[in-house]
Amino acid sequence: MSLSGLSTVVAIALAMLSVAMLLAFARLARGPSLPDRVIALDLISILAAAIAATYAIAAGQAVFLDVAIVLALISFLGTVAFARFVEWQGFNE
Amino acid sequence: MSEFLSSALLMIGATFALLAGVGVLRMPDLFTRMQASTKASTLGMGCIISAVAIHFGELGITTRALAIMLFVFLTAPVAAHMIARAAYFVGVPLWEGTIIDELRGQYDRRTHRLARPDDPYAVLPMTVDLNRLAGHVVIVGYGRVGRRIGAALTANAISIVVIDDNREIVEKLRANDVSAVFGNAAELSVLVQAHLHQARMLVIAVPDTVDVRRMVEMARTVNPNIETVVRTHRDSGLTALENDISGKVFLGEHELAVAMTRYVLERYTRAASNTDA
Repeated sequence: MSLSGLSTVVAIALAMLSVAMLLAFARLARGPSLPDRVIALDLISILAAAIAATYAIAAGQAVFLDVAIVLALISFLGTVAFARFVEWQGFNE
Repeated sequence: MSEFLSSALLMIGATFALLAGVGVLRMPDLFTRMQASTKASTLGMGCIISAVAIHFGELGITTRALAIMLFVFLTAPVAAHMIARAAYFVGVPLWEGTIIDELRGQYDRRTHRLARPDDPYAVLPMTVDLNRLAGHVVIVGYGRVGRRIGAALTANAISIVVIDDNREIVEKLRANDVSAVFGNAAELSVLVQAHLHQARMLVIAVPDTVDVRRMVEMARTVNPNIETVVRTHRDSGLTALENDISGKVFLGEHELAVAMTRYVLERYTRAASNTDA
């Protein structure tokens, strides 16, 4: 496959990831409960990491992979923190 | 070749990510949304990261990619479990089409720990042969009626599971290698323990009809097509009960009268023919 073929694939993949992110954003806005928003946010950060990784191919720069690492790490810590918060504070929606 | 492979992985990963997005938006409740988002995002991320690793094909980058994958695969289930658990505690509603919530009542509300059933008789022992828990007959109540039905079925090599609210009966049955569950058959968890979802028939042999409607209703949520046989003592509302549970109802006195009548008629005609002869 030619390089232009790969860049097309990367463009399509980025478009699909963006659509997925929009859908996740819709769930984030809609809720209705706090845990719903937390999983939407979790999905958004995983998608952001995936976009960073895909962009590493598009830009030919492996450095973007480090962005994916950091995002994945923050996403996990954030979700765990939210889970503890939800579990002990109850949910106010 | 590696270009093709990384393109393919990229497309698969992006597809899964898109499915995660659609699932999160479209699924009816939190828990179904989670199962869409967590599975798809983990797999999607894994594919995309592999695509990056294959695309660059350098040791340092591949190592980093593997590290991300390992990290995501380790943490995503933990995070998902924690948030689902928290959501369950605070009472995030389940989808209205949910049939069984097997966790209900199993958590200690105060300590947030799973309350293990203290009673070993309330659960079937793990040693029960699984072949005996499919296509079997569930008998509720092992009194004078249930005992006779159970013995007849066992004699015909039909496996049975007994539900009884008398612990001594359950204890005795287990000692005799009969599968038995202690509890109220109007409770979903008890019916699930008896593997009603795999059973062929439900025989309710308890005499009181107070809980029967509820038992049958619960049984239908576990196994919508189960054939039900019910015992009753009350004449009134017999057809109503039969319609409600859409199964066969036996009225104790009626069946007794039928059997006695048959015997009397048989004896009478025999006696008559003897005197005639």
